[in-house]
Amino acid sequence: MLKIEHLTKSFGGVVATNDVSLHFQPASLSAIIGPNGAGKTTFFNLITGGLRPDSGRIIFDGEDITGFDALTTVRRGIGRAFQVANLFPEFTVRESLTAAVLSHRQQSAHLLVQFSAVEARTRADQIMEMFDLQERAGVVSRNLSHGDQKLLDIALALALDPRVLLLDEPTAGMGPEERWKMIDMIYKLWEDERMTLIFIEHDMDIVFRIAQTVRVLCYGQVLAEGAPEEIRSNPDVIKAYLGENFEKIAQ
Amino acid sequence: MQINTFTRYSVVALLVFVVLAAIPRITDDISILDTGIMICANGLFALSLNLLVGRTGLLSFGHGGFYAAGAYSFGLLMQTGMFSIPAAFALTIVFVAALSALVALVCVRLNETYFTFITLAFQMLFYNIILSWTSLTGGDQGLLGGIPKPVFLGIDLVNPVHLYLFCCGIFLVCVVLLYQITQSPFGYTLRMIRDNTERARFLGVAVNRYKVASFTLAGAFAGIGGMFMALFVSGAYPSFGYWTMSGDGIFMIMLGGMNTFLGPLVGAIILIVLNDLTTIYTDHYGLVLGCVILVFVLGLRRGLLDFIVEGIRDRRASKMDQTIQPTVPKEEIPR
Amino acid sequence: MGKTGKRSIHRRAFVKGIGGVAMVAAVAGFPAIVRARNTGPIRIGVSAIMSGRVAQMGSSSTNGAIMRVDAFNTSGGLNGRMIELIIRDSKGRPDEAARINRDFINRDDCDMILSLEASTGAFAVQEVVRELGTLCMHCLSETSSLTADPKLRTPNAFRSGRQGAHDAISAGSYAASIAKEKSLKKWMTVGPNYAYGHDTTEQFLNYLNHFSPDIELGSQLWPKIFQPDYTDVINKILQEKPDAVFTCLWGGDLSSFIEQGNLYGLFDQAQYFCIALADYTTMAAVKHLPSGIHSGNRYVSTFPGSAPNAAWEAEYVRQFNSRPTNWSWEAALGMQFLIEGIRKTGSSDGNEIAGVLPGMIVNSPFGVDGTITMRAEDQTIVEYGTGWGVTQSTEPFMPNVTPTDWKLIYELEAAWKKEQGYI
Ligand SMILES: Nc1ncnc2c1ncn2[C@@H]1O[C@H](COP(=O)(O)OP(=O)(O)OP(=O)(O)O)[C@@H](O)[C@H]1O
Ligand SMILES: [Mg+2]
Repeated sequence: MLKIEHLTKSFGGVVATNDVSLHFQPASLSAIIGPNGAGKTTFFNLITGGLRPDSGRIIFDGEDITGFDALTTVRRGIGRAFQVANLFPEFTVRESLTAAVLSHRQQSAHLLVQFSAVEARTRADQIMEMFDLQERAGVVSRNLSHGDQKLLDIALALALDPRVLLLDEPTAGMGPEERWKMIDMIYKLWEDERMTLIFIEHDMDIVFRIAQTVRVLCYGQVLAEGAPEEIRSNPDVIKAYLGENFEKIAQ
Repeated sequence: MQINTFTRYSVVALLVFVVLAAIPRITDDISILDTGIMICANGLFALSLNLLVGRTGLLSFGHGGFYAAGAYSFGLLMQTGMFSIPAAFALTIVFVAALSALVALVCVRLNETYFTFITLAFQMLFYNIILSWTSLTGGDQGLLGGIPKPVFLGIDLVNPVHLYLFCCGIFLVCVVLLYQITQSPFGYTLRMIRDNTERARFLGVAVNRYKVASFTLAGAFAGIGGMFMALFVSGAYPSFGYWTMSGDGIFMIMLGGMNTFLGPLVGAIILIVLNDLTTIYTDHYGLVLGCVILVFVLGLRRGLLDFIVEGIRDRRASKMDQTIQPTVPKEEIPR
Repeated sequence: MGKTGKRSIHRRAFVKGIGGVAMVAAVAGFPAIVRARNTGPIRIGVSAIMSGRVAQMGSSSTNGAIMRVDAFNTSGGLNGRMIELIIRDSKGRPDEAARINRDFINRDDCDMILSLEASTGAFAVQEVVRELGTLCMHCLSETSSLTADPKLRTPNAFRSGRQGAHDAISAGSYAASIAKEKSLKKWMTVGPNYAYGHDTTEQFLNYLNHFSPDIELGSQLWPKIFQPDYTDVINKILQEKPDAVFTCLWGGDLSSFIEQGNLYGLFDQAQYFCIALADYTTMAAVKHLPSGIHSGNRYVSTFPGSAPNAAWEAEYVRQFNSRPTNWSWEAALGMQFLIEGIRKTGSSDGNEIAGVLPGMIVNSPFGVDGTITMRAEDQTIVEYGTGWGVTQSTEPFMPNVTPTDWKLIYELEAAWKKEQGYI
């Protein structure tokens, strides 16, 4: 489905993505973990056309999409949500989702109908319900709580019916309770829609609870990859990533 | 349902037209009608500019170029004596739209600062073409000899009442169209670009194409404003395409407000009335204008109509908060 | 740009008065009251450039008009009907000029228009009065086509100012005679880079060639209007060492050019022909006016060297505490024609007055022989004093002016008009 081959990207001296090769199966649910600055977001940016790789290839559904811009990539069916919620501050929740659905349906350029009355609203409302945002329908994005902003960010990506959905730290900045709610929702989403879902996460418990496979990035390189149990017991991972926490827990 | 809303705008516009059309019956003061025509020309200019500034988030500083293009091409077409007014009107719209599309294709790829800069550069280019192509444009003396206004469909634009009604009518049609544009999916897509261009792109919006479309539409409407002015002064002058014209457009938007659809129109009215009054009572137009802008910038911190509309909205919102959830502490209101 | 005329107290007072009335009317929402045409004050709308860089144009010309009006009103007006001037600032913008003049006619119920606009503004006013049929006197626009081109002319609009075509003939013939006398072969030109500069220079060269076909033309320099620094121009002239230089720079630009040229001793090295130097405000603005510069007369009290002219200047200085300009006499003359028309018809009706203006001859201190004619065929003045002289560094700056023969002007003007297809 999504195949990454020898992908490399550097910023000046920093090699943010270093010869990364990964393969994501259709309808899989996988996690990417790694310490701060490991290159996780950069990896997403490369896939979605936010950044151009220096070398390597990205194959999506048999097509080489390396170097495609964001627009083309999205049109191929790769959607993403952002580490810091990336919204339209003056749009209400419903407006944001309607706009996204319209874009997905190639109806954004329509001039003779009312935005407030387009058919796409029905779909927008559905998505709102999926994310439990219906009570916030009329609230403008900049006034949403942090958690709702993260939800809306994901909902926007989902409005495109992506075949691959990339979520960059969906639980970032949330309290423990909110966090679990979010994770349940993502899992349910994946179960319902069965897209290829890749998420970046710092919290190990979360990762181990829902991910089928886990990839560990460190200094831009793939350190390990495998089922959650394998990763948990991989000594390299423990050293590089869990080490600090482990010691804390051990104490 | 959809057709209904559109009909509703049209009915409102028609009612407004009836009111405006009554003015020449109530008074025979032609200067009121003249002011009306000025408001139509400048109001359309400001409203069209706001499609870029307020809706798409593109700060164009070259909008006057299209205003001038409309005035000159209409004037020149009429002076050939080969076209009726409606034909010249339509041809001018096509010409100005094509011209703005061309400029847009060059400009929209650039980032914000450069965009503003390059639109200004294009305007200067137009201005210099007008000045130097003397055989066509009359250079810095303007398009001379008057613009012929042959009667069509019983409308005689030499008659100030007819001209006033003609401008009001077309102006209202344009306002309805512009409003429809802002309320359509297309208009919301422009707002997406304004709010967050990057995210719009990641949602599959072909950002540059929308910017070009927005720029083209805005240019075409500005051109219509220019035609009103050409009809009014029966000529076209380089000052229409000078950067100060674009500056006035920005002023009007600032004065009236950019978030409310009619804000720029209110701004145009403020500026025109202010100008009228200061020319009658003082020679210190610049000083008065400067003070008014200071009041707006420091006092209201936004355009007049925005101030009113947003003020009402806030008040209503806080009232709702008080009546429905009187105990909610301030901190819990979502940020 | 030299001294600025002190604002007239009269003007202030009545502008306020009119303003007050208009304000009351506007507030109360009264429709304009249509006044009977032959009672009450005679209203004349004056649109002028009162702000910006050429504000002096507005102040010195309105002063000229005010002087005339005051004299008329003091002498009892037209059977007790006084003239009211409504003066407004067009800021030099043609669309503003159009609007203001329409307002004069439609809102303020003015009987006639005194247009103190520079060229674009004047053309905008011309279109307004063509459409509305109101009597209009253009005083300051020197663009010949305004009255010479039959397509632009309209029966209700006249001009009481110089005309580019006349000045060019005058300049060309004078320069050619000096060129012969001093055998000036190699010429350069310096003109502001806009239509007036190019047209004036071209016309001058045309006539210079006509009278003196053997001159050589060197570089032609086009500094920007309101350019503060003329070093480039000066260096180029020093390099080329021409025998003579023609320039149609004017006002503050000309003063700066001369002042900066002085530092290089520029004016000792060639003969300079300035079409627009001999205006007191320009000459007085130069710290050390070089002697020996040739200039067309804009306004000097020594030409025509008559008692009425000297008296007029003295009266102007007394009233406004500044020297009159070329614009002052043009506006004063325009006002005089309107007043004579009012007197002659005994009415303030623009149509009637427009009927008596063509061919009218008035006594004027600015006429070459004491009178000025409003030529019937093209509704513009002739026989005004136009000529050239040489500067001296002290008052009266230009003691002698050689008048240009109007016969010569008529002859060449007719040829020019034919060439342009105007007749
Ligand atoms: N646009 C950029 N320009 C320069 N350096 C960048 C840029 N984007 C990322 N980097 C650098 O690349 C490295 C990887 O950054 P990236 O944001 O991909 O890390 P991350 O794994 O997402 O970290 P975090 O967990 O903090 O989100 C960091 O050293 C970062 O400073
Ligand atoms: Mg990151």
